[in-house]
Amino acid sequence: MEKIILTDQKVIGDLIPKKFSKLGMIWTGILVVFCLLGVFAYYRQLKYGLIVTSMRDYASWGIYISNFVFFVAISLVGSLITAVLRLSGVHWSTPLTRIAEIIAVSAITFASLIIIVDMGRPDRFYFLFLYGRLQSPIIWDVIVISTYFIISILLLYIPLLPDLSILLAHKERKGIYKFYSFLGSFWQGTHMQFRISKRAINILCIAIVPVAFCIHTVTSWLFATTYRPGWDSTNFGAYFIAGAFLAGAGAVNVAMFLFRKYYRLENYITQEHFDKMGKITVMLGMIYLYFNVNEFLTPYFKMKKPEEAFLNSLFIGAFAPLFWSVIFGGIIIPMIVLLFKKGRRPLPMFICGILIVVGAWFKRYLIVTPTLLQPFLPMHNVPESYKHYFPSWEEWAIAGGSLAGAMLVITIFARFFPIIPIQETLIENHEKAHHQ
Amino acid sequence: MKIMKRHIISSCIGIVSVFACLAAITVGAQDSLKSQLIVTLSYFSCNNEVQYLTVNAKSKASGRFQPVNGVRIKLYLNKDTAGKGIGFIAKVITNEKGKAATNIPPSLAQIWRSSANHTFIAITDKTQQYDETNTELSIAKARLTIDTAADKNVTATLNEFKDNAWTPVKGVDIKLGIKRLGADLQIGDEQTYTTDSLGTIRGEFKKIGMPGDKAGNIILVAKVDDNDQYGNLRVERSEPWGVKFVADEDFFHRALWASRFHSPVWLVVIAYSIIITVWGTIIYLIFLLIRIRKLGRQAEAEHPSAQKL
Repeated sequence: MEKIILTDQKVIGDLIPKKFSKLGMIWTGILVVFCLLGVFAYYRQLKYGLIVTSMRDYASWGIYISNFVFFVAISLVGSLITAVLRLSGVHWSTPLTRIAEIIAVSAITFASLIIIVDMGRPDRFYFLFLYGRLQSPIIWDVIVISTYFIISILLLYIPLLPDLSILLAHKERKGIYKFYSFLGSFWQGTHMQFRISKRAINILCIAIVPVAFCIHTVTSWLFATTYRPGWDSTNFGAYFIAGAFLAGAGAVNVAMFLFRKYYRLENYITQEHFDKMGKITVMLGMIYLYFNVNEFLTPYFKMKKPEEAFLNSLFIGAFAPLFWSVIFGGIIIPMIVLLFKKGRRPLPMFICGILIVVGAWFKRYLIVTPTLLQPFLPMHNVPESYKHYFPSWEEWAIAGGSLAGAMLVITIFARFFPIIPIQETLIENHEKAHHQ
Repeated sequence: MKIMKRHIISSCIGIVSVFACLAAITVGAQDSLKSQLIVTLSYFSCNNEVQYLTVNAKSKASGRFQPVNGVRIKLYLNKDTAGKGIGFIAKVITNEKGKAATNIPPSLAQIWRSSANHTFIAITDKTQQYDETNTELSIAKARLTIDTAADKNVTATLNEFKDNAWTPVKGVDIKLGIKRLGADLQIGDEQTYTTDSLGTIRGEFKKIGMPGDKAGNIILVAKVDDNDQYGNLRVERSEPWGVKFVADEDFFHRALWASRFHSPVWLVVIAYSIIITVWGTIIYLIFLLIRIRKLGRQAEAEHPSAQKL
């Protein structure tokens, strides 16, 4: 298939960030409202304490922790698209790298924030650094999240430098210009600058992969190092990474569709990108399904007495509708749809992406809550509210606010920075023209 | 009829006057109705060296005695012929348990040595809630000693200071015990032992295998509790009759469950190696960024009009 070669001016004109349309304003407004609602709910939580949540003695981790694990999972997409594909010598993913990186940065930012929200005494947050024990997986998580955050920021920023220079050349000298100037006015596009930035990006791509694996493995160990039904598993690290890859790929599919449609990027995010991302999603879905089978089939086969109540609550009990919806709706159905070429078109990809992301969120809920409500020792002489968990409106508002906040970061980034790398697109166009 | 009316009016005025008088008396009586403050004094002598007093203030409220907090009590040693305290010991204030304590100060040593018998006086002033009180406690100076024998027998002797000499006291109950964290544990089967004509009691130490300190020392105690004449006397002696205590110091070894400064070496090495490697890489990347920035500034200075890519 012959590819269309676009002129530099056309590429720059297409990819340079533009003001919000009316729809963009409405979208941003809705996200801001959700964020403010979350802030108000958190104000209430600070004022009255964690009693405003439905978390009690048994279900002491609720949707805040589910949300945290979800954000950590989504953040893995940065390493998948940018690092893994780049290191594999894959070039078709170039238009998707920045989308993936901003998703990773916003997700890891809100993962850090939501864990502070879960703290009863957030004013003591710095105690983690002052009094933390190196033996604790929580401290490993703190270290690895801050490291991943810095690496993700660098991986977003360094490839952005040439684009900042383009923005400076094409924007009026007012308002945001000063910010662009502060970030990238030193980029002159010299041969040495390109060479050094290429080396830096290669180092980052290599460094981010083990760090990304660490962040998910360590997060899984927060559960697996605890002796509880459903968490006591040696499979957890790999299970979490597989799930994170799938969730991240789903998020990219959704973002690809939305950016393509509303920023009119059909020339840059093509049918071919959807097709290839669809195939990757199927592969990741299969891997995740394989780990799910491992995670649940062997305990179900043995049906150890202390785990019986937990497994039954998932398979046939109170959590069964949600569990099977997640397995089928969030993994199996999208995988089957994406197996077909027609299923890898933009709209089905978008719908499957939504299913995967929503399924991933509820999967984290199913990892956290049923286990806590099925302790090894039976619950005796406890208030009725301790035996169940359904999040309070404050928890929903905060969790929703954090999700809206992550999307708001992505939206605002796309408003001020090119969501598809301009410089790299120009270079690829020049190379294509040269070959033709 | 008129006379009858006058009688009725006079009777009414009379009745009202009587009730008015009774009411006035009742109000006046209420004004002077105060709770009774009860102050008790106790004398303690520990190892024949430290003498101190404790004071307990209580008052009856809601049908039972309650401790009284914040009562100011002046304590004196001995009194003059008019009954006023002469040797000022201290002014104490009771706590929320209604208790206060003070040592007998060295400044009263001369008065203390001058006599074999002493009287302690506790005085509280009149307040809005309580009337003034004056409590006395008389004691005779006594000395309690403790000794041990190789066959794990414990001997205690009680002497009273009488006619300028220490004289054995017969017929006083003494307890023998082992000092533990919460209270004293008796050394044998007997709760108390009564002194003979030599002022001596003897008890057998039967608590074999009692945990002691690192050297196996335990503290033996002989004590006279709340005696009308001598107050509270207590004397202690350390003996290596216990089992040596070996502290379980696992908590201080390097382990995954130890404190933050006792992480296992392998964990410290692995964790810090990873942290140093990754953060070293990040620092190197920041250094590369600084180089990019410098190169840009240099290029800008050399070719100010060059168009950026």
